[in-house]
Amino acid sequence: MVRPTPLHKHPGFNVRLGFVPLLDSAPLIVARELGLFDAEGLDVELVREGSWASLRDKVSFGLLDGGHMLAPMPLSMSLATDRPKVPVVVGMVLSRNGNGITLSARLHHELIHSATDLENPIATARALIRVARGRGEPIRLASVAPWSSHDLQLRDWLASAGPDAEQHVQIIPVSPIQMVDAFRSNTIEGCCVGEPWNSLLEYEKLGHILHSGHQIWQNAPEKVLGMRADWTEQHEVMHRHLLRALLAACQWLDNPHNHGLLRDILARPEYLGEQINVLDNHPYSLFHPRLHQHFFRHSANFPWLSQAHWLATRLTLRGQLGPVDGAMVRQVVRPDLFRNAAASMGIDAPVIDSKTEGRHQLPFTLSGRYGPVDVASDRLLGEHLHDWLADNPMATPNKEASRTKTATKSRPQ
Amino acid sequence: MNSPEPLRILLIDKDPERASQVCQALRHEGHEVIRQRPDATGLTAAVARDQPDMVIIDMDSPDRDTLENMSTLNTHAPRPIVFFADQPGDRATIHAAVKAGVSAYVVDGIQPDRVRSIIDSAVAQFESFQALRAELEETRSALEDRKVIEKAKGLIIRHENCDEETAYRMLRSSAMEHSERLAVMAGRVIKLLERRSQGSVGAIQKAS
Repeated sequence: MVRPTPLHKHPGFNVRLGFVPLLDSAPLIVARELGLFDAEGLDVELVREGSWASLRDKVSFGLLDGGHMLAPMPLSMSLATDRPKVPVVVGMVLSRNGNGITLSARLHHELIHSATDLENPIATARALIRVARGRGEPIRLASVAPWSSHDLQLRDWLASAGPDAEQHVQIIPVSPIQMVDAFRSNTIEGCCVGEPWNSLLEYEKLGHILHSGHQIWQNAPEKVLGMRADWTEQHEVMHRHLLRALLAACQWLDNPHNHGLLRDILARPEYLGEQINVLDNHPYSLFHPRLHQHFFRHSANFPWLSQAHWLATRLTLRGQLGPVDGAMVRQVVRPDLFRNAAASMGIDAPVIDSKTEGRHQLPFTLSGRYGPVDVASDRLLGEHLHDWLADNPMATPNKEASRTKTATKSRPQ
Repeated sequence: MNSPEPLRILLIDKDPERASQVCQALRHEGHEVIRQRPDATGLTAAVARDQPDMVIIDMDSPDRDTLENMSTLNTHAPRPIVFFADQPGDRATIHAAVKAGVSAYVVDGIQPDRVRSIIDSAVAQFESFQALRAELEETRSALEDRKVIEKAKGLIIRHENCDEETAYRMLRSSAMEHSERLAVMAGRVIKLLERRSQGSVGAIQKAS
């Protein structure tokens, strides 16, 4: 049984943050271990959670003030229609990318033999559907939770093969820590999951990474810091300190020279534990190069309203949320809080709150307060474009209109 | 508050001693523990097969995600879940938990003499949740109905070259004639008119 693990305490301002043991919980763990929280005068208690459901519920009940969350999770908690709403505020993105779509060795083999271009996600999705049709029964795949980026990426990938693609695939929920067993027992033939599970599935020779989440949505926000809205309101200054500590941790994480130490920290039993030790023998060690996981570069931590809105529209499409407008997203995602914290550390941020998602195939620059700011590419599978606020920072929420359109062709900028 | 019916319960607990205590307490209350499992492996199949009325699982269990998301897989009624946690808490926390939609939230672990009230509150909570879901479903289907009716009206207007009022009257009178719901009749009209390049009132009448 995974029990909550209260770690060391320090005098000062006490904050309780939950995390699920995954590679991208590293910003919280590193901030704790490098004393970055201490430096900000915060006494942070990290609590390890065995499931996203338990993390979410503990935040709802006030047993935790916030924590490491799947990017769509704060939207789903704050805007829920099928359960009481628990308003959560997102002041920063903790990590981008890191998910993989991994298929069983057998299914992967079938795709190779169908002479499919394995680099082209739309081609592979079509090939997968052909395999399912040939078998006459649906292929069973897994995602980690309906309100996860994994679920949305998996479904967006399948949907690129055509509107009826999902009829040929059954998507079941499996917790990340049970993914290896689910592959081994042939319960599932593929999944979309975060690290280290894709690498572990490859290392155990149970599956192959077919695609990265990056191929579905380049540099998608993967995990965010979600804090209860009432906590954020009462502790505005402390929230800024929290963002500062985590920003410093993210900056540290992007430096490959620190990854040896990172591995030693994460392998401790109170964090990810010995499960990651086998990755020492994996040629890629901690970070699989295909998954493009990163924590800081190219304004990774900036919480774009347009990205949150794109996630919300996916949740709405899947029937997990009612219609969501710009004002609702603005209550959850707060670029203003991010800018404030980042500026106090000399880190510049874009002056606009939203951009056209899907337009940029390469990193590009935007105006920051003090000069140009690097921003990561954001291409969407199928060349979708998702516009919100028309890049106009002066637009007021009630004038915002959301629209999603498909581009004929987008050019790199 | 009494549980009116004995419940068929699936218990998931890694701690065998606690599980047997809970099991005993549940049986004492007249409930049936149909299965006891250490974890959620194969849970989907187990629920489909045994159709338990309730699943009881540890708050901190990693299987929570799997269990919670089963509703995405199975359209049949979701089961109430009781969570146990060993962390200390207070009444306010329990209250907040129950309000937040968790069937029941038990602090300080499970005590057999509290099982009854836990089950009762879980059932009550489950029922109010079901009512909320039903209400949502109703609203959703009302919206769906309106969309179908609007579409059928549009098709009739085009095919019959009439005004909206007339189209609606035609639709309503054929629905009444066949004692069908308006939306059902609208659906048939759409099917029929979309198949034919030319429709007529006759076609609408034959739609039943």
